[in-house]
Amino acid sequence: MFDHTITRSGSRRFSRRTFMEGLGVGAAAGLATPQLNAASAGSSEVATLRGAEIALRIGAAPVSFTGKPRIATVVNDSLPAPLLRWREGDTVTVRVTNELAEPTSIHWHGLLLPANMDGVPGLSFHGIAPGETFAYRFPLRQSGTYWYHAHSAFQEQTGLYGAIVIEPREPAPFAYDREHVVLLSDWTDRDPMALYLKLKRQADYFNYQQRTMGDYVRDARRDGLAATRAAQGEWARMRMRPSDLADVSGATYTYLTNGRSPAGNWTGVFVRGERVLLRLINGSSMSTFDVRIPGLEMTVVAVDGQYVHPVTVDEMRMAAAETYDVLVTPAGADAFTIFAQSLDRSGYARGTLAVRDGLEAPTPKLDRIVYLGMADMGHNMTGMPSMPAMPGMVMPGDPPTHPPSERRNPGVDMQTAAPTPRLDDPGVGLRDNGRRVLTYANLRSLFADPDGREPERTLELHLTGHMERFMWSFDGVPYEKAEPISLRYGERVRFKLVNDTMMAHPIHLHGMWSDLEDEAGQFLVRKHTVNIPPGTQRSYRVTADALGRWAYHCHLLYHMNGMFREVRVNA
Amino acid sequence: MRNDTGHARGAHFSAALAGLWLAWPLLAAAQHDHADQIEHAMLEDPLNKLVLLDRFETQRGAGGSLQRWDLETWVGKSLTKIWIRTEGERVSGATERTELELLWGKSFARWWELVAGARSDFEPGSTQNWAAVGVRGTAPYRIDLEATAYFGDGGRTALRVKSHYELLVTNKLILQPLAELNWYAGRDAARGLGAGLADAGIGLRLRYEVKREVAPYVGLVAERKLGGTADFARAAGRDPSDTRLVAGIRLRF
Repeated sequence: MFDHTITRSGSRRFSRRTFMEGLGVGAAAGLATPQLNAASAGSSEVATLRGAEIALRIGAAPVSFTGKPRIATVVNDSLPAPLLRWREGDTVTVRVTNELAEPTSIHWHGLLLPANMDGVPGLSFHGIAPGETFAYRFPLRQSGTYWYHAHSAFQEQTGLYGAIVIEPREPAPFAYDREHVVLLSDWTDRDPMALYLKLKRQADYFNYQQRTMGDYVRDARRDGLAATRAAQGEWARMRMRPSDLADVSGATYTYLTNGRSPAGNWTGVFVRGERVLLRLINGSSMSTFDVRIPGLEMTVVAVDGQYVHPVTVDEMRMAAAETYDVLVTPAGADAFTIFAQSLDRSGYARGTLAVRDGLEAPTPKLDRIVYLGMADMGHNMTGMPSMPAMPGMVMPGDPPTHPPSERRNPGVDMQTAAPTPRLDDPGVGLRDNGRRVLTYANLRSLFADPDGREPERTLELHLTGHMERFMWSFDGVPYEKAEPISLRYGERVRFKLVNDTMMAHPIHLHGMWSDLEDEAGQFLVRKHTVNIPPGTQRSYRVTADALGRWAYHCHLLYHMNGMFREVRVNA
Repeated sequence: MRNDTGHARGAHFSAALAGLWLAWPLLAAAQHDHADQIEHAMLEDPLNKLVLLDRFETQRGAGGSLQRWDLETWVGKSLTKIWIRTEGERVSGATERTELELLWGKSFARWWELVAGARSDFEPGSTQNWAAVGVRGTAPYRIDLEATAYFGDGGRTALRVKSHYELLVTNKLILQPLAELNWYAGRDAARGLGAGLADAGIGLRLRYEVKREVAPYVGLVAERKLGGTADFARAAGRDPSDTRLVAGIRLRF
């Protein structure tokens, strides 16, 4: 195993390191505790594999993140799965052996590859049966930070996720001295299927931050009784909760940084004066993270693996499956905390950047919870979309048309009235917090729209669900009952997504890019996962340049089985 | 109709419940075989079940003490369920009332579910069977509502409406106001029921959720027999209205 740093000039310097903690722990420690991350604090490089030929073994191994022994899904005895370091232009072969007692799969999130290599059971292939080895083989047509994870059952929740770094053929348009992957995730001691069934029985099971009588009294004192009654009455009439920020919370989750709990304090080392590239990945199943490093500003240089014009911020919201590459230049202290609080403020992941192991900076307190407002739901009628009317043209900002399948549908509990793109909105809990917060409106790809054509047609899809019944779908129709979305090979299509639920949904299209547009239909940024907060409608362009059957879904693990479509690109 | 004792009926009822829960692993196993195929569609709406022992309590008032239970349980999916509901009470060690309902439930609107099935009352007196049809769901302001009409032996008709609300004092300390009304179309002297509105009850229970599954509670209930039913009670030398303290436990799995 090699650790490496990249010098400012771009040439590589390797230093030999061992990774006893990361790999081969089972034999070494006697107790097969992958990564040992929960137990021991300090530096732990993520196990790294590189080269065009890679062998991965998916197995089960005991772990303990909370003090209770549990069985995790691990890859080469590691949680998270090993970091894969590849080079753009190479063709890689990954032999994946299933040592589990159930079928498994690996999906290469954000990579452009042949449909039969995409790793979605039922669409790309039949999955990998117990004892079987499947050989993935695909050329690397891109560079940047990506990740991989299971696409079978709930194995992603139990640990099957890892980072991918593809080094570019051309030098990156920015310089750095050192890099660290920071893979954020969420761990529960519960069996994921049991957890899912629990949510379907009682959707607020994990929400211990609901508004109480005390909040009501406090609000009434502050805003007056009439205003409080009006505000809360509106929620109550809708039979909804303004505290519905996350379905699964810190009540069961331990949030991890590179497989370490906050107590385990993953540490990335830097040398004073260095510029450090952090490859931030939200590899969680159900969590949105608000990430900041108190004392350091972050310059975002790539998003979802693709370069963007550098933008400097203090904080960013990372939806599940998104990746952000940021440059930091630690100065003025020996240690800095990477603080990633969950959107509902029920917990956080943390790690440390420090000049050596064993150092710690103060961990900030969790922000106060901010409940959803009616404006968050797109119910603020004063804010009707105000696009310049262009007769005959469908614009991304046009008001939505609710599909008939949403009507009288017991699986749909609300429809948004006046959604807007709100690309420049930091989102609930991050507005006016005194920090510079990244928004989608800040993101500009470093390249012009690579296709250049206007979309020939617009596909409008509504993100739908029922909070209490915990049902999720597109247009009120779950995957099971839906027809595939057909695209013609080579066509340019606008996907317009309208959120008719009260939760944010990170929507991921496999195999093709999602080119996010602004309100006027101008290309903003190339992504593989686009977050659609409640009360918004956002649109992106897709060039259907990949034949075959592709998955298209919400990346929240317990939403995706319903909020899922097959996208079929036909010749 | 009456062919055995309430205790035997109770045994039948227990056996039926036990049977359902013994069958569960088989149903779940059949389901799991599908899940093994790892098609995302199959995972969306797996077979699920709920057991809610909403009330299991002792009540104590001027008229003495009694024990009461109210259990509902379902097996099913997001929109289609099979419900078993039972409630009853015991006074000084003897079962005074046992009702058992078996219902098929189908969600037909955003917040409403239609239920239809059968109800049997094992006590008091001879067993009485009813056909049941009703709705349950959540009204605006998050008020939980359950209204069921019953059509019984000999053309008898009854209506029951139950409603409750959950008020969060804290996220674990929850105040539950509850109201119940019973109405009968005709008089039934054997059971001490008059025609029309027979009784109304309100309750206020304050529970502490040690965890979601386990919540001990205390509370206060006020019940009032009305109209002809009140006359029957008075004739039997009982107070038609009673206010009682309650203590019990709520279990939810």
